[in-house]
Order: sequence, then structure tokens, then C-alpha cells
Amino acid sequence: MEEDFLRLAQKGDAASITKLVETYQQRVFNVCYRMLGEATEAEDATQEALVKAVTSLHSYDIERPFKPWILRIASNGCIDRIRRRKDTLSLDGMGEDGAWEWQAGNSPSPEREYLRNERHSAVRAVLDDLSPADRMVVTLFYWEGMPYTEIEEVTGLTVSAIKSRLFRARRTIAELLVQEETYA
Amino acid sequence: MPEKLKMPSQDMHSEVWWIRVLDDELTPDEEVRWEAHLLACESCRQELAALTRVDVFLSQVPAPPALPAGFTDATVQLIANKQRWHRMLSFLAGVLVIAVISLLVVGAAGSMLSSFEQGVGVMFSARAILFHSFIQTVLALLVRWRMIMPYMVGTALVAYALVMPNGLLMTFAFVWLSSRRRARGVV
Repeated sequence: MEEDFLRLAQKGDAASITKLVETYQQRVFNVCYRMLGEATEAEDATQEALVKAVTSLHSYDIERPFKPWILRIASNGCIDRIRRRKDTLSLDGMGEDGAWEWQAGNSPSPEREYLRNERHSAVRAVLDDLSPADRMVVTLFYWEGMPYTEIEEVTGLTVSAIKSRLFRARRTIAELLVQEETYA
Repeated sequence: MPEKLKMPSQDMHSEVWWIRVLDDELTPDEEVRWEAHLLACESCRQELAALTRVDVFLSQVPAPPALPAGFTDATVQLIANKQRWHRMLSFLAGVLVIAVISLLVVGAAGSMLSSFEQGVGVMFSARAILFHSFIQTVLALLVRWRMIMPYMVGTALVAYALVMPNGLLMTFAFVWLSSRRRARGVV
């Protein structure tokens, strides 16, 4: 069924491309949102991933599952965005006294985010402390409910590496939660 | 391979063990030993509680918001634009490649043709030069043969005497013996 419209989409059929976008957009957005923590940027990343996936459908092996393939494109895009964001922060985020200060006009401050959605803010704060690759593993395992083998296909890591990363990420999150409780 | 090496780590403070605990991969026997260890080890109890809280914390995270209306149309439009650009770029790239290949082919053919022409020209002019030289030599021999003949005969005799000394001596010997025999018969 899915294979049929994927084949048609590969040939450039407009209706099949629309169906493909409709089928995967929310899943891709969910991953991007978890990775980036902001709806607007996640929408941009989702659109970028979908456009990239459809325009490079000729290189997709129809025999393989589509979901890991498109999520891999999305996750790579998100990791690039996080890295760029860090680079921008390192150049523009420093105040006169050398301390980090919040840049007006960017995404809302963590404090405002915390007031708006306490839980979301807490999760974001915790995830921000993980490396992009670890964040991806946590996202796919906890929120996408993917088995290790599927995460392997998305990330390109081995199952043992995924298990190890996931365990270390859990430990980091546990430590952060303890710290948060202490400060609270 | 010994059976011991195949078994996963039994060190209850190792990462491998903890991963197996969290993935519910312990055997019933290991489970019993693990429970006993937890009763005795305060740090493991604390760590297990902290890790369990992580699972609870992450499972309570609110779901991401739904995508805004019109997202699909905007994305499909973007894809169509991108594909149009790709097609145009592919066409332009194709035209460029064909133009470059055509230029190379025409250039190579022109160069080959020019070389061929030069080769043919050299062949014809070389033949003309050789023919001209041959005619000049023949004419010079015809005009100057009287002057040249003694030198040629002398050269031939010297060459004969040098190259065939035995032949010359035999000739002289034969002539001398014949004249002696004729003289005796006469006597």
C-alpha cells in the first residue's frame, strides 16, 4: 500500500507526494519539536526535511522502510540546527561583561517558557544539556517508542552504542532532576 | 569459546548490568541476586530510584502541538517549486554539458583534420622533393658521365682489389701460367 504511493511519488506524482507529506509530517514534526524545543523552528525543520526527502526520493531504496529514512533526514537537519544555534550563541550571546545574556527577538526566554508550560520548560532544560545525538536517541526511544533496531536505522549507531548512550543520557537526566529539586 | 566469556558481565555496578536491568533482560536467577544486592547496596537503590523517576518524568511530557492548518499545502507547494528549480537546473546543466562536449568534439575534430591535412601535405611534398632529387641526379650523371666514369671504374677496381684480393691474384696467376705454357709449346 505505502510502497505503491512511494513508487508513484518517486515518479513525481503530485497526489502521491501530497499523501506522503500528510502521512509523515506530524511524526517528523514530533521528532523535530522534541529535538529543537520550539514549535516555529520545528515547523521549519519539518518542512526542510520533507522537501529534502521528496526531492531525493530517487536515492531511496523502496525495499526499505520509509519512516527511519525520513526521520534520519529530519534528525540530521535538527542536529545541524542545534550546532548552528550553538555557534551563533557563541558569537552573539556574550554580553559586555562576558556573561551569557538572553537575545531579545529570538525564541522566548526559558523563564517565560517555564511560566507558560512548566513541564515543557523542565524537559527542554534537561534535554538541552544532552548532546544532539543523545537527545535524538532519547526522543526516538521514549517519545517515538521505537525499538533499538529502528533507532539503529535512523541514527546509524549500533544497538550496543544506542543502549550505552541511552543509559548515560538517563543518568544525566537523573542528575539534572536531582539538581533541579535541590534548587527548588 | 569458553562458556564464561559468552556470559554478560555479572558486575552489578557495571554499565552493561544496569542496561540489562533497565531492559528487563535479567534471568530469574540474576533477578534474585539483584534483589538481594539492592537490599544491601544503598547507592544502587538510590540510582535505581533516580533512573525510574527519569522514565516517569519523560513519560509525562506533554505531546507536541499539532501542525498548523495549511502546513501540508505550503510544504507541497515548496516541494513543487523545488522540483521545478531542479528540473530547470538539470536542463541548464544538460545544455551546458552538451555545449561543452560539442565544443570539445568540434575542437578535437578540427585539430585532427588540420593534422591530417598537414600529414598529407608533408607526404606529397616529400614525394615531390625525392622525385626532384632523383631527376637532378640522373641528369647530372648523364651530363657528366665522361668525367665521372674513370673515377667510378677506379673506385670499382680498388674496391675489387681490396675486397677480393684472392680473386685478383688467381686471375694474375692464371694469366701468367697460360702464357708460360704457350711459350713452352712454341719452343
